[in-house]
Formats: sequence, C-alpha cells, structure tokens
Amino acid sequence: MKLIRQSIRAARLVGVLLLAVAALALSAFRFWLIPRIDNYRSALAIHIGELIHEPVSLQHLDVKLHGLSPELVIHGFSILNEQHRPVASFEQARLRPALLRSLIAGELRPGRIQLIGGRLSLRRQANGAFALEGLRPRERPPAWLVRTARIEITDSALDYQDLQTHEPRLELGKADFQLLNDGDRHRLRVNLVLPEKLGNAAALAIDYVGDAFDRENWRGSLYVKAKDLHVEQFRLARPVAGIVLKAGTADFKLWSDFRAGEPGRLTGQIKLDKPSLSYQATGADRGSLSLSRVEGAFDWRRRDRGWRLDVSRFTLALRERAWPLSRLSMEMWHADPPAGAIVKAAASFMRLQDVHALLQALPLAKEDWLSEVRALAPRGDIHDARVSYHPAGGLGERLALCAEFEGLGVAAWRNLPALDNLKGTLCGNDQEGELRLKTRHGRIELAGLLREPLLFTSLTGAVQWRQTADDWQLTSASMAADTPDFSTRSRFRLNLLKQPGTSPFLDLQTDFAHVKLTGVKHYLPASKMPAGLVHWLDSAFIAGRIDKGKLLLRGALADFPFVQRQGVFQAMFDIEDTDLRYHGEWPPLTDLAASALVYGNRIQIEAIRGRLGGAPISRCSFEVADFIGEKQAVLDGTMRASLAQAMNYLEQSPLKRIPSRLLRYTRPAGAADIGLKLKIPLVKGNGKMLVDGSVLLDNASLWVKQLNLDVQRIQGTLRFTRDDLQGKAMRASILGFPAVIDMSRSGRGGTAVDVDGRVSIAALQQQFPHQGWSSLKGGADYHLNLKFPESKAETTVPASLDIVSDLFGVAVQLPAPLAKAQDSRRHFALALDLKEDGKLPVQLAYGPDVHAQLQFAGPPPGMNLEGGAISLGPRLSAASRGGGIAVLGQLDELSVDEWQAWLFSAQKAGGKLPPLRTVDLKVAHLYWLGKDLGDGSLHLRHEAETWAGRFTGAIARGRFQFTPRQETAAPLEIALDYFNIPSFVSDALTRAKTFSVEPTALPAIKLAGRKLIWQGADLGSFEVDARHQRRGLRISKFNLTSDNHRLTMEGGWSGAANGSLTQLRGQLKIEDAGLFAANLGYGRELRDTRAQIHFSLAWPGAPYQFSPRNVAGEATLDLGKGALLNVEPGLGRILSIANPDNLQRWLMLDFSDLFAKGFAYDRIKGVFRIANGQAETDNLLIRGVAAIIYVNGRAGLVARDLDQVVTVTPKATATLPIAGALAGGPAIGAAIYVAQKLIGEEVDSITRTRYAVKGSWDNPTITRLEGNFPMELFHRAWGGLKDLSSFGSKEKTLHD
Amino acid sequence: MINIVAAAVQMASSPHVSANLLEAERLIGEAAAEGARLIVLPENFAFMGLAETDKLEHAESEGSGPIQDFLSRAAESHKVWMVGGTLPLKAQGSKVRASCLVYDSAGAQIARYDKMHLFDVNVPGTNEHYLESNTIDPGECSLVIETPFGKLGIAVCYDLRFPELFREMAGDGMEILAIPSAFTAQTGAAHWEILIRARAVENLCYTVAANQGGYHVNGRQTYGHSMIVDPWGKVLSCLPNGSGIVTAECAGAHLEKVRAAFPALNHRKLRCHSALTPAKPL
Repeated sequence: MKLIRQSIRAARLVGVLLLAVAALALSAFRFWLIPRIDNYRSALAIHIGELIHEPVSLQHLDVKLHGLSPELVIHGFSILNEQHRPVASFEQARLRPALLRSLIAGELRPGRIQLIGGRLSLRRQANGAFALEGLRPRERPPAWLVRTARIEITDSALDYQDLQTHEPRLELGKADFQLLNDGDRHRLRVNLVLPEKLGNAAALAIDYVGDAFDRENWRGSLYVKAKDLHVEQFRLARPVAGIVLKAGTADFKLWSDFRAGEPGRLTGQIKLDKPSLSYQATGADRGSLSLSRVEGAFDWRRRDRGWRLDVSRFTLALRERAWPLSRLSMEMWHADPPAGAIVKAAASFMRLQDVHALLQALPLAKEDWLSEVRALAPRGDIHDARVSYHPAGGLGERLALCAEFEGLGVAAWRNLPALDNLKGTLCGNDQEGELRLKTRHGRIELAGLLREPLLFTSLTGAVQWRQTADDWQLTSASMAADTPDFSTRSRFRLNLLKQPGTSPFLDLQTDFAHVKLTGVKHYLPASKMPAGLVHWLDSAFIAGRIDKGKLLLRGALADFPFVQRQGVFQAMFDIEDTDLRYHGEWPPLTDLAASALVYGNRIQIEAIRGRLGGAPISRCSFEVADFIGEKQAVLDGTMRASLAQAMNYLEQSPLKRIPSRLLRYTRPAGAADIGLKLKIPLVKGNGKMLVDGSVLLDNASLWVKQLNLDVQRIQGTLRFTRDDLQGKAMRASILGFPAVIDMSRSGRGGTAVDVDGRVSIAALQQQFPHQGWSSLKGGADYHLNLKFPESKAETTVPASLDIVSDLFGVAVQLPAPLAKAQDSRRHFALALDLKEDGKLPVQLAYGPDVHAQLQFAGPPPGMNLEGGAISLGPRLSAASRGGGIAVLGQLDELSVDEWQAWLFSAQKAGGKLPPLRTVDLKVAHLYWLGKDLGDGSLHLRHEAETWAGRFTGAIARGRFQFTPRQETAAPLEIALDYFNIPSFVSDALTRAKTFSVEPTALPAIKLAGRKLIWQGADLGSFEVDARHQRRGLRISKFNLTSDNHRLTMEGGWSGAANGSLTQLRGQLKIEDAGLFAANLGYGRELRDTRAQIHFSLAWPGAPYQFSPRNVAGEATLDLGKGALLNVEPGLGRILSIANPDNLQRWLMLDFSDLFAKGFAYDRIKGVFRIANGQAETDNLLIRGVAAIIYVNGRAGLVARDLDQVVTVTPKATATLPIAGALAGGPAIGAAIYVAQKLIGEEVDSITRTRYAVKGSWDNPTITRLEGNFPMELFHRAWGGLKDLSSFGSKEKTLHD
Repeated sequence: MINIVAAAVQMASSPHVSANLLEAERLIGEAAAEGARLIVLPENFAFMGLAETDKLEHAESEGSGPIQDFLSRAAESHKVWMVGGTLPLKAQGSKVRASCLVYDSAGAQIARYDKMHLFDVNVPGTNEHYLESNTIDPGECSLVIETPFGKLGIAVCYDLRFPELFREMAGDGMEILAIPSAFTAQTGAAHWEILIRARAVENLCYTVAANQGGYHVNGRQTYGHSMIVDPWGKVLSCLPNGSGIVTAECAGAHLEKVRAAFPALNHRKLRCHSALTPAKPL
C-alpha cells in the first residue's frame, strides 16, 4: 500500500509540473506569437502552395485558439492558376494544424482545412465523369485534398454544368463539403442547400478506400440523399432502358457499396411526386407518362452474371388509386452461353391497368407484343406474381407464371372472351398449368357466341391447361358458376387446335340448377341459332324456373348446334312453375311443370302438369323437331276443362272469333276434353300457324242466351282449325228430347249449327212460358240451323236461327186458318236473328197462308211480342214498321165463333192480346155462331193510345173508337149503321158460357145504333150506355125503341170477391104484340095484345151468363086481350112467356117462342119469383076464352121437374081448340096441358078440377085431386106434347 | 377366321332412348361407310338413366321393342353383323337382364348373351356407387357363336375382370371377342386397357371393345378408349374420348400366325387341386 501511495504522489507531482510547462508555452504562443502571425503570410502562402501544389494567395492571417489548439484563419484565400489568376477563391481558409504530426515532422502539418465562402462548379465531363472544378486548376488530381486529414469547404456556392448536353450552368446553391482523409480511406460529405427552384436539400457521403483519384479502384460506400428535388431542373440522369425522368419532385436516399468503382449493391429509398417519364429511342421521345406518385425502397445487388433488384414498400399511383405497399423483385442472369438472359421476377402487387398504361406510354417491348397487350387491355390487381423466363430450359424456351389475381379483366381478343373482375390464381407455364378461379361478381363476355355477357355472382373452380404438339387443352374437373339466373357445376375439356382455321372442340358436361327461365334468353348462343328460334326464345318464357338439369355438349364449336349430328348437344331438365308463351298470339301454358329434352336441334318438352287457359292439362308436349330446318314448333296437348275455360282459352287466341261468336249468343257449361295440336312457325313469314283441335264434349251444356235455351247433355267431338269449327253427329238433349247436332263452317267464315230433334209443346211451354202455347198440343220433329256470322261482319250481322218442321204430331187448337190436326202435316218455318240488343226479329211461315214477321223484345227469354206483321191468306206485304202488330189478311173464311171463343179463353187464361197496331182483314165467308154471314171486313188502327176502326159485314157495320188508357177513360164508342142479329144468335149466346170477362176489365161502352135488325125485322134504334162504377159497369141505359115497342133496362154488372153479379130491371112495353110478332116474321097470327113485362133479375156472372141455375128475381107478366089466329100449336109458346128459361132469349130479343102459333085469351097475368133454380108462382092466372086456369107451385129450372097444383075451371060455353099445344114450359105448361086435355077430350062441361102435376118435365105425373081424370088419355096426350117446342126435351134445337 | 373389318362404336349415352338411337344410327353409318362388317355397340348404348331403376321403364320383351327394332333395322340396312351393346330385357320378377343381342346382316337376331357379372361396386376415389344387382338379373352362360367370319365371343363390361370366363370362351374356339362396356372414367383409367389387352393376349384373339366414353348428361363419366386389339396385344385403333368409332381389320392369317407361333392355348394345364396339409407344429 505504501508503494501505491508513493506512486500516486509522484504522478501528481509530474502532472502539476507538466501543466505548469504547458501554461508557460501557451502563454508565450498567445501573447508573443499570435500578434506577429501576419508576418508569416508570405511564408505561409508558399508553404500552402507547396502543400497543394498550386499557387495560392493570402490576403490576411489570423490565429484563433480553440482550447489549446490554434487555428490559422486566412482571409482572402485564392488558388491560382498558372497565370496566377485565381480559379477558386474563398473568403476564408481556416487551417488547424495537426500538432502532434507537426511536432514529429518538425513542420506545419495541417490537421484540418476549412475553406469558407468560395465558389465551386460541378461539371459533367464529356466522358460522363463528374468533377468539382475550382480545386483543380490543372489537369492533375489535387493530391493535397487527400493528404489533409480534414478539409471542409463550407458556405460555398456550387453550380453545375453538363458538358455533354451543354445545358446552361445551373446554380445549385450553398454547399458544404467535408473531406476526411485517413491514409487510403477517404470520407466525403457534401451538404447542399438548394435554391428553391431546384428543391430543398441534397447530401452526399462517400466512404471509400483506395486511390482517391482512381475511381476504378475505389472500394467503399456511397450515400446520396436529396429532398424535394425538382427533377425537371436537372439533366443528371441517363435514360434507363430508354426511360428518362423528365419532371417531378424527388426525394431519395441511396446507399451503394461499390468495388473497383462499380456499384455492387445499391439500396435506397426514392419517392417521386408527380414524376413524368419519357421513353426515348433513337434520340427522340417515343412516349411519355405522368404519374401521381412512385415510392419505394430498393435493393439492387450485383450477382454472378447478373443482378437482382428488390423493391420494398413500393407504391405507385398512376392516377388516384395508389398501389398498396408492395414488394418487387427481379433477378436476371445469364446462363451458359449462348443462352440469353434468364429472368425471374416477383411482385407482391401489380395493378395491371397501370402496368398496361406504363407499357403503352413507354413502349418498352416489341410493337406486335404491345399491340396484343393493347388489344387485351388488361386490368385488375395481381398479387404475389412470380414470373420466370428461361430462354433455353430443359424443355426449350419456357415462360412460367404464378400469380394471384383479383379484378382481372381483359378485352375480347381473337377467340378469347372478354373477362372482367375475375379472381383466382394462375400457375403454370407455356406447357401446362392451372388456373383456379374464386371469382365473385365476375363477367365473361362471349361476344361471338352470347348476346350478353355472362355475369357471375360466383365462379369457382380450376382449369388445367396443357400444350401438346397439336393443341392446347383446357380441362376442368369442376367449375362452379353462379349467375343471377342460374347455377352450374361443370366439367369440361376444351381443345384449341393449333392448326389455323380449326374450331375449338368442347366436351362439356354441366349440372345446372336454380335457373330462372326468364333469364335464359341472356345466355343463348344466339349467333349459332336461327334468328327465329332466338326470337321465339326471347319471349317464350314469361316465368318459371329449372330446379335442376343437365347439359352435355361435345363437338367442334363451329358445328354447333350439330345439325348434321357432328356433335352431341343434350340437355335435360325439369321446369317448374313456368309460363310458356309458345306463340305470341296464343294464351301461354301456365303453371307448367315439365321435363324437357334438348337433343341436337330438337327440343322436346313433356308436361307433367300445367294449365292452358286456366284449365289443367291432361297431357301436353311441346316439340321443335328441327329448329334449324323446319322452323316450327308443335304443341300437342289435351286438357280437361270446363267449356267456359275452353272458351276463355280460345278467346285469347287467334281463334277468338270462335268463342266470341259462340259466347255472344251462348254460354257453355260442363266439362270437355280438349285436344289441341298447334304447328307454330318460329319465323315470321314461314306460313301460318296450323291448328288442329278437338273438344270432346261429355255431358256439356250450352245455354242460348237470346232464347234462354239450354242444350244439355252434349256429347260428341268438336274439331276446330284456324279457320273452321266442325262437329258431326253430336248428341244432346234439348228441352228434354234427344237431338243430333252438326257444326260446320258456313259461308265466309261463319259457323253453322244444325240440329235435328224433337220437341213437345209442353216442353216449349215450360221453356218459353206464354199463353199461346195452350192452343198447341203434342210434339214434332224439327230441324234447326243456327248460323254464327263471319267475324268481320259480326258487328253488324247477328247470328241467325232457322227452324223448320212439318209439325206432324202437333195439334194447333186455334181457329182456322191456324188450326191443325195432330196427325196432319203443315210446313212450319221460323227464322230469327239472335240480336244482342234484346230484339228477336222472327220470320215465320205456317202453311201456305200464314206468314209473319214478328219482333220479340225484352229481357231473356225475350218472348215479349213487340210488333211485326202477320199476313193471312195470300202472302201480302204487311208493313212491319213501328211497334205493334199489323195483321193483313184476305181469307176465304173465318169463324168469328172460334176466334171469339179463343180470345175469351185466352183472356180467361190471363193472356194478353197481341199488341195490334193495324188490322186489315177481308173475309169472303164470315162464320158466326156456325153460320155463314157472307163477306166482311175489319179495318182497325191503334194510334196514340186510341183504337179506331170500322167494320163491315152482314151483321153489323159501323165505326168504333176507344182510348183505354186515358186518365178519364173514355167509353168505347160504337156507332152502328145497323146491327143485324140473326135469329140464331140469341140462343147461341145463351149457351156461350165458356168465356167470361171481368166487368172491371171492360171499358165503358157507349153504343148507338140506328137499326137493330132481328131476323130481317127492324126493331128500331137502340142505345146502350154502360159506365164504370166502383166494381164494374153500371148499365145506365138500354133502350130499344120503335113505334110499337119500347124496351128499357138498367142495372149493373159489378164485381165482387166471389165473382161478378149482373142485375137488370126493366120493362118491355108492346103496343101491339101482333104487329110486333108480324115484324118479327111470325105473320099476323097474333092479334091485338098489349103486353107489358116488368122484370127485376139478378144472377152471378156476366150479363150473358144468365142461367136458370143462378138467376134470382121476379118477373111480372101482364098480357092484355088478344088472340092467336093460328092456335095450333101456339098456346104453349104464348104461355112460355112465363118460362124463365126463355128469359135469356128474350134479352137477346129472341121472341120466337112467344110469337109462335096458336092461342086466344083475355088476359094472362102473374108473378114469378125465381131463385135457387126454382120458379114459383102462386098467382098465375090464365083467363082464356074456354077456361080459367090458375096455377100454384114451382117449376124446377135446373132439375127440370114440376111440383104444381093446377086448377082448371072450364067455361061451359067454349071449347079449347088447343089440344097438343102445351109448350110453354114447366111453370104453366102442365096446367095448360091439363086444361087442354080436359077440355079437348070431349069434356065440355066440367067444373073446376084440381090436379097435382109432379115429376120431370119429360114425364110428369098428373094426379087428379078432385074429379075424374082418365090416365090413359093423359099419357096419350103427353106423348104428343114431346113434339112441341120448349117442353119435354133437353135436346131443344133452334128453329128459325 | 377370315379377314373382316370390325368397328367399335363409342358413345356417351343419355337417358333418352330416341336421342341415343339417333346417335347410334349415325355412328353405325360411319362405321359401315368405313367398311366395317362387324359393329359392336357399347353397353347401355340405348339408355343410361339417371338412376339404376330407370332402365326398368325401357325394358323390352325379347323379340319386340323399339331398341330391338332399331338394331335389326340397322343391321339389315347396313348389311353388317351387329353386336347390340346391351339393352334391358324383361326378366322374371321386377328385374331385367342386361342382354347383348347379336344380329346378322339380314337383321335377324342370332344370339343373346346376358351379362353374368354384375357391377356392385363403390368406385374407389369417387362418389360413384353401383349396385346393378338391384335391378339386373345375372346371366348364367357364356356365349361363343359361329359367324361367317369366325367364332365370336361376347362378354360385357365387368365380365372383363373375370378371366376364367374368357378362358372358357377360348375353349369354345373364340377368335374375336366383343366386349360392350361402360367402364367408368376412374376404373377405366386404371384398368381398362390393361384388361382388354390382357384378355386379347391370354386368349390369343382379336378384341373389339366398345366403351361408353365421355361425360354423360346424367353426370357420370365413362372412360372411352374404345379399342380394337390384336391377339398379340397390339392396340390397332383407339378412340380416347367422345362419340365416334374405331375400326380395324381383324386378319385371320395374323390370328393363326400368332396362335401358331405362340400356342399358349394349347399349353393349358388341367386344374390340379392338391389337398391342404396341416402345417407341422414347431
């Protein structure tokens, strides 16, 4: 320890001593030497000149101390040339000696030289070398630079001059240079502050070993840095591969290792903003390109026989989208000669469109190659691309490429399709390789094949390629493609033959699914298909899908679709929920499920289910046997459909006129099996569609609208074509009767329906309710022809219906001339137009004499007779204009009775009279009540609610007028010239009880006649007034007046709940009944006899419906003295006055029985009470000349019996010459009879005797109540009475 | 045996009979035009259904049916002998027989062979499963018939893997072997040519192998490579893929020459069944 402490002490002592010596030396330098330094300027200049081997000049010297180190400051330092003119001048030069080396060397050795405020010039020599002018005034290296440990040139101006281009000198701004020399090692740093127009700053650092002035021997490193360098101001860079950076702003850092003056590795970073590149060839710009930005770090290394370049963090922005930071590598070397360069390149990213733009702007490759690239216009991003090119590998020239791509697209080029947005990987070489696609939303455009690009939502799979001597083979074991319209899974083999002009051969098998049929048209190989088929397919599928299907295509694509079977094209698939428009004018097949086969140029679709016109199909096939050759499709199907559906289907088709014709007039119902075969031209102008259809009707029905007629149970087959509709021997039921129906084409495109059948009147009546049918009975065969008009004329021409029959089997219970027996035949023809306006114009012919044109109207069934014209007799042209019916007739005979009876019965049946408008009728023989009245005529007009007319005939002639519908109903006014009542009329009317009229239905009547002629006798004028009262008619006046008689009546005819009632009361006064009888044609057999008859009677029903059964009332008979000149057998007739049974005839002015022959009397008087079919009297007194007869009892008017007591009191002075003349009737007839017999049978003096008369009128039993009465005599007498009129017989006949 | 040009027709049949017959008609015409007088159609030439059972719908009774009519008409119209691939002929029960009918040049059916070995296989490396025995009733007898050009033996597809069958046919004098087939792409690539050539070589006969070849619309893939092989095992003609024909001349002299030079058929040994003897215990 002691030794240590002594050593430390000694060291401290030495240190202190040294410090003291140094302090003394420094003080001497500072205070003695420095003030005198300028004295050494010349010597220093010489010394410096010797150091740098160049003469220099110094203006002033100064020394500064930096600690213990002195620094010599030279003001105004210049390096002189041989002419001693300064070539480089600096404001200052600072020299810091290397003290130790100077001490060792014994002379000043500079340790650091600093030149300040000079001006330097960087020159590019003609040989391309760079030199810093100013420090080398002569052509030799400035060795002093490298002998000095440290030389700094600071704050000096630097310019640049290119002696190659002779560009103007460029001022580079202030530069600082620092050169450190350490033997052979030299380190140079340059910092440059650039003028603003050139950039910001630049720096250079070189560290090398070797001869400082022999660049080829340098070994070291280089660092260059620049910031915001405005490239366009510099012409520094040589073209690299012909490319020159002509503009832009550059930031870069560069490190380089070099050996023997050549760079061995070059690394750096570069950033170019808005660089502009130019491609130069043969001294001229061939293209240029401006970019937005280029940036990256690079590492270039020299390799054996080549080099390698790695670029990292590379990005390029050609326009706006910058590349992501990526890596690029490229390596090139030469293999053994004579092989060319081997190139390998890799890029983590490339944007093809940018590369393409670069290539196009900077045509670095051969023009033919560039033109192909230009045509392809590639785009998309490439990831991890690796390319190798070997000019002469083991298999010859090889190009290999592996890359991932995204958004890849190329334009269509030659036979290659245009691609867009593909994603996947590609790896292979020009011999074989594989392409794997994982594309979403890609696009392939097969412009030569498909009309529209294939848009893939997904495209995945792998394709391998292989090159053989003959071809390129592309194969894929699985390629899945999904488009918006379908999905496919395919495998294929595509041979691209190298021989020019040969077609690619494709062997493709595809499973496809989820196909939208509406989209199929987008994927048609339209260029390979006939235009007609394409057109058809464009519109064929309205909706639908294919759930799955399979396709096979094998053959040369040029031969597709293999019409000559050069290849195989098959597709099979099931279609679902499809609407197929097989022809634009026909309703589509809807809801179709079918299996389809495409084989070559044949398409077959077999439906499993579907609907045609809304009806389910039973079977349907659709086939295009040869869509190249035949150019037509065949649809062949059947469907079970309702007729309505069938019609609906046809209505939407070109055959619509068939249903439109039918449906205008009919409404079909029921089901039918419809067969349809359509041959559909696929090309316009390839002929018309051929239609072969059938409708198998099974229990169908057809309702004829206008007739409200059901044709039922139709069975048979209808066949239709495009222009025709036919059906033969179809069976049907019409109105319950079988019928045979034929349908055929009628002239000019119309349709005719012929029906042969039978019908009963009862069925017609049920079908077309009308009272008119009641006159018809039975049934008959008929033939019906229904014609539907041709379509063009259907707007104006309605369907027509013609019916003909011989009516055999039909009884027409109408008056002549319409009447027809059931077993007779009469031609009947009916023709009508089925107009849609509800009008039914009917033409009718019935036998040779009846023709009619009638118009029915109203809602269905349309049987309301609106008007028309009826011609009776020889066919006359009756006007049918306007409403109502015009009847024009000219008949040989006409029975008024029959027509009257028919009319009344029709009216009773509730029928309405036809709406007559005019009646013009002439009859040669008019029959009334069975009698021929001769000719007659009736002319009737119905205008403005008024009926008016005139009539002429044997019975009457006159005019009438009636306006029934006026508010104050005017009476039926009848003015007669005469009314000639045949004698038969009254009795006939009495018995005409078959018709009745409601009193309220009758109009008020005002009748005036000038003559009432009875059996040729003029009974005088007459007036009748019948007015409406509350429930009927009130007969306020009935007068029949002549000079000799006057009949007055009044009463009424009123309706009640249980029927109508007629009440009449009146009187008949005759001054001279004899004259009255004579006027009536009974001669002058009645003499004198004033007569007066009062009556008051009532009976249910109409006035003409008087009946003994229902009459009630009272009649008072009072005949004055008179006599019948011809008594035989007139007494009975006279006495028949009391017979109510005759009253009806009297009301009809038939007094024939009254004025019959034979009786004499003083007075006849009595009262009869009539009720319940009985006529009772208790006071009938016949005061005859021979006897007085008194009658008491009743007479049964209905039972035709008697129950009377007859009292006869003979007058002794007279006899009764009236035997056998009792014909008066049951009331008093028996009494007269008894009296006659008693008196006539030799009993001339007998006193009053009473007899009981009972029993029937035909065979009464007379019993003498008092006195003797010989019964044998009675019976003998009664037998004679049967021949008398009005008594004892029901079979009374009328006599004139 | 006399010289004859034989043809094998290769198809990729579909599930549609009419389409297949049209295709077959075209290929038969091509073969006849090239001078073929013996034409062999592939197995299932008229129908390859989507499912095994589909063939039942097209089963015909022997002697009548559209497929047989077609074969007869084609043989007659082209004046060729026709080995009609296979077609389904009704068998007892609900199954069919995979029958190969042979027609002479007048269109008359001469012989019938029913496929004996049924393809009940899960094809390795694929998803393809076959179980022909579900629908097909196997045949019982081999067939060698006399023809104007020599003795013709018939076997079908999977039969090819059973050499004893062909040994038996060789014993019957077979000179030309016709093998309608539908080898799958997978098994065909592995075994087809080997087996065909082996059968030709070991039996010293011409082999006319007509295979289905290519993609089928039903999704299957068959191997193709229909070929005609001479008795020496040389492939005279081969069609790798797709529809088409292969033709080659089968020369009687060549057959005789090979058989004479290489009389292997005469060197067959009778079977010798030695009884197994238990191994001696150690």
